[in-house]
Amino acid sequence: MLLCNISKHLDGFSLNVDIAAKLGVTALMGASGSGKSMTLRCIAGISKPSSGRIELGGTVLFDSEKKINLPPQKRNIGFLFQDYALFPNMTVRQNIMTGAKNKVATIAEELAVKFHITQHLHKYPAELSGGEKQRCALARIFAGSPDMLMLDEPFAALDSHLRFELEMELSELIKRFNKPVLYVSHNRSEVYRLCDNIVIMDGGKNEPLGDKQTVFKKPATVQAARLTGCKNIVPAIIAGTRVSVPDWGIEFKSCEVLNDIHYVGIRANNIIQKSIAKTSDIAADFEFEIVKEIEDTFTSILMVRKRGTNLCAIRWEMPKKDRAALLHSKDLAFLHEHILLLK
Amino acid sequence: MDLFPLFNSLRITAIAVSFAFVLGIFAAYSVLRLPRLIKGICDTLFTIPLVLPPTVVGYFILVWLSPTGVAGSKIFEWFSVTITMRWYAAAVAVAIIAFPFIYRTARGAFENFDQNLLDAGRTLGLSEKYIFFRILLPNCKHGIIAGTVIAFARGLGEYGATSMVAGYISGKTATVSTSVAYFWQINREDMAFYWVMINLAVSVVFMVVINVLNKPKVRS
Repeated sequence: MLLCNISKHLDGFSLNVDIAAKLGVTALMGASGSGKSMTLRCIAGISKPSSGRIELGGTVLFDSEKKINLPPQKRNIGFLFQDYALFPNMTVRQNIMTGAKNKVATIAEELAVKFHITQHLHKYPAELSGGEKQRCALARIFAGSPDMLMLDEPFAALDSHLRFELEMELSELIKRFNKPVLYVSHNRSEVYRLCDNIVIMDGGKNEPLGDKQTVFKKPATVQAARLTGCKNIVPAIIAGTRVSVPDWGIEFKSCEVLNDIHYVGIRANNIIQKSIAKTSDIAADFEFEIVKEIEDTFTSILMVRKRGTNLCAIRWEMPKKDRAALLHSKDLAFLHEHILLLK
Repeated sequence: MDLFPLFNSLRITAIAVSFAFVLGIFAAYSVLRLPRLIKGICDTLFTIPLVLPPTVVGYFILVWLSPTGVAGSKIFEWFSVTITMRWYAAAVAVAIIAFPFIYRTARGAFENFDQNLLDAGRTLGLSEKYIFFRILLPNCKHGIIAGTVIAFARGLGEYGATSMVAGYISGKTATVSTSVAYFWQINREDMAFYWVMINLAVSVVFMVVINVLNKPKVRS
């Protein structure tokens, strides 16, 4: 269990995070500059928070009031850097051995087998591929049996064709790890596949931790909706239970509590043709016109708006085969369950 | 032919550069983590021998170390030793002149070094000492060695400060560069030419060494 309640003030940026991460994989999601990496650095002890408290598994790592600040060397946290940070002057074996607390020579062999890098033990990092570097860095971290893992965008430095295979390996590894894992990423699919819980970060602050299904299905804020891939987000005006969306030219009655709601969103692939929707599910519908059409790899992207208006275009994505069927359809529909009400 | 000046120059420079090497690297590493203002002040102080005329450096050494100087008088009082007009006075001068070359190249190498590697070392539980000697220094060695070679070459040719603090005493303080000037002044053009050729030969060797060191690294 990791408890991290810290603030840090830098020139023009201030970080205020309050995270309680249980066992399992917790994703820190946020745009670049939202403070994700700084949070990890503070937990690892390589940056010092201005104030607050960090506790891992009952051990206090940092407490500004009690003047506790354990050096990174004593925190026993495995930190996988974005570029893996292998020591270029050391072979893979030597790199792994730097992580080992008790220098039993066989530990490098054992870990090399586990991470499939046995044939690379004598090589230098510059001779390794991106995937091999990552495996080497992980082996080095595991050599020290860390109490927690922190992964900072582990796949950002890899070619896309390598990513999936490594992601499956990493997924296996962190599932069996059985200690807290913090995972920084802004790739929503990766986060969905690998993580259990999600903390959304924005402008140095974080939203409360939520389990991934909830965060993806019902994001609470504009930031969460955007990070989980919602392309259409516009302001909304709330009057009692009525929600009106001037940018889309629609108005509907909501059966949810509308406290603090200022925006609505709908995912590009959740818009449907009115003809296939059940009337009772429909929140709003209108006759549309196509402003622009973009053909993507496997989908068609239509930018649409209410016919005869000059309103904001809505992004609508569908499989290419559905695009053909659309020729006969003039109306689209937003279902209640698909409209995201956002703070 | 008396080769004492060459031997003396090598001895002075080797000792001086050894000191400058350790102190320069230490200074560069210490300056890295200082607050900006203090860093600027230290940086100026450590670099100034590079831009000052060597005679000014010599002047300051004399003010400090001559038998009537601030520290020199004490040293004479306690140990009955004079430092100036001895070969080791030249070593002090050369150490000060050579220091900025090593300090600046080391600082540049440290600043360009990927800080993540140092942080990674810390999260892996490695001591600061281990990180400095086994990670930072080995990976910065190309820059530091190049700086040291330049410092060595500069030290061997040092004239201004050396002639002020050690003068030219044949067989005692004579160096390769003061020999050229001395023999020219006493109208021994043949000897001056001889020492000029030795200087040239030494310089060529250094240029070759620098070029070899600056070859692109095979390992990155």
